[in-house]
Amino acid sequence: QQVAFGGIRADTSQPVEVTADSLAVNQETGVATFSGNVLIGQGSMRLQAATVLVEYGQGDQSKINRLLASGGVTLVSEAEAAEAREAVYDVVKGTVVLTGDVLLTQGSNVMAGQKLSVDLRSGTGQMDGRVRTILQPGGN
Amino acid sequence: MPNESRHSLIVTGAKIALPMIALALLSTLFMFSHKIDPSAAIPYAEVDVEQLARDAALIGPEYSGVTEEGASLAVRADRARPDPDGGRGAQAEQIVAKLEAPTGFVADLTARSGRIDPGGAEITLNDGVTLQTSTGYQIASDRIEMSLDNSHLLSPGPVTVIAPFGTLEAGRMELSADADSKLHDLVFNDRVKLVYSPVK
Repeated sequence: QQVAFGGIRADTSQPVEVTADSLAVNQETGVATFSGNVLIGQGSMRLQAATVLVEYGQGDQSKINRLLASGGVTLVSEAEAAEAREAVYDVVKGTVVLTGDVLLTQGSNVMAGQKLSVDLRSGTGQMDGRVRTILQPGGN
Repeated sequence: MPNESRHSLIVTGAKIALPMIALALLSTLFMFSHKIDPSAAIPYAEVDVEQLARDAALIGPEYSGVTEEGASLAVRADRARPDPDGGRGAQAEQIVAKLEAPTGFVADLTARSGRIDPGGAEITLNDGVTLQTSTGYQIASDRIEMSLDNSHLLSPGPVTVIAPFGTLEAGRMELSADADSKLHDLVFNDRVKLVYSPVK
């Protein structure tokens, strides 16, 4: 099911800001985990989660490939909000894939499914897995 | 035998001229010698002896030891004086500390001043502390407490960090080694903020 995502259009070259209560980085393995109401922000896109694991490029710690958010995730933009259990934000490709009881609210329309993948560059989203749409009659 | 007479003439002439020249040289030799100024013979040290005697100080003290996790710790300072307010340990200046773990992890610390207390197994670095790790973290804080018996560093106050993947600020930082796995965890808490710019 194709979904228009007007609001969540983020310039993927903008800096990514991650704020959290704590960050633990293991020096030998290099695994970095943000925990405690983590907020990932880039442009107008906000992704909140309980914990976020940082995944680097191959052997190169200065490049972040993906941010794996888990423990209840909400993706928020001006007009839309999407909730799910987990999300993977691929910084390089500029996509956010939410999985696990996804609930997408656009203005007054609500859509539920199992997987929502959003392309930040084009601002389009794809909802899959038992998609149910609830349209408010008389809405826009 | 004109040759012999000319030759012998030269020889007898040389026999007289050469010694005369030698004598002249020797007699004028003393005029070219160095001017020796007896008063400047001994260079005095310009150190204030009273000040040195008054407060006992260690110049270039060094502490080295091994932590429980087997990490070697070496601390050097330019000067160390007994704690002015009579506490334990010594007040030190220009401290350089190096922590090398068996896993290959290395942490280098520098600070302008601090307190070394081997008895209490603790070193407190303050005044412009920088911590650099072999994994590419450059951390600036204004106070870091290092424990001597296990590789544990704590910065109670805010830190600004240049991490491999971006710049980072946090209200508190702690580096500790896991007892059994010997791996080092660098933990920032109290409002952590990371800025990562994808376009390098």
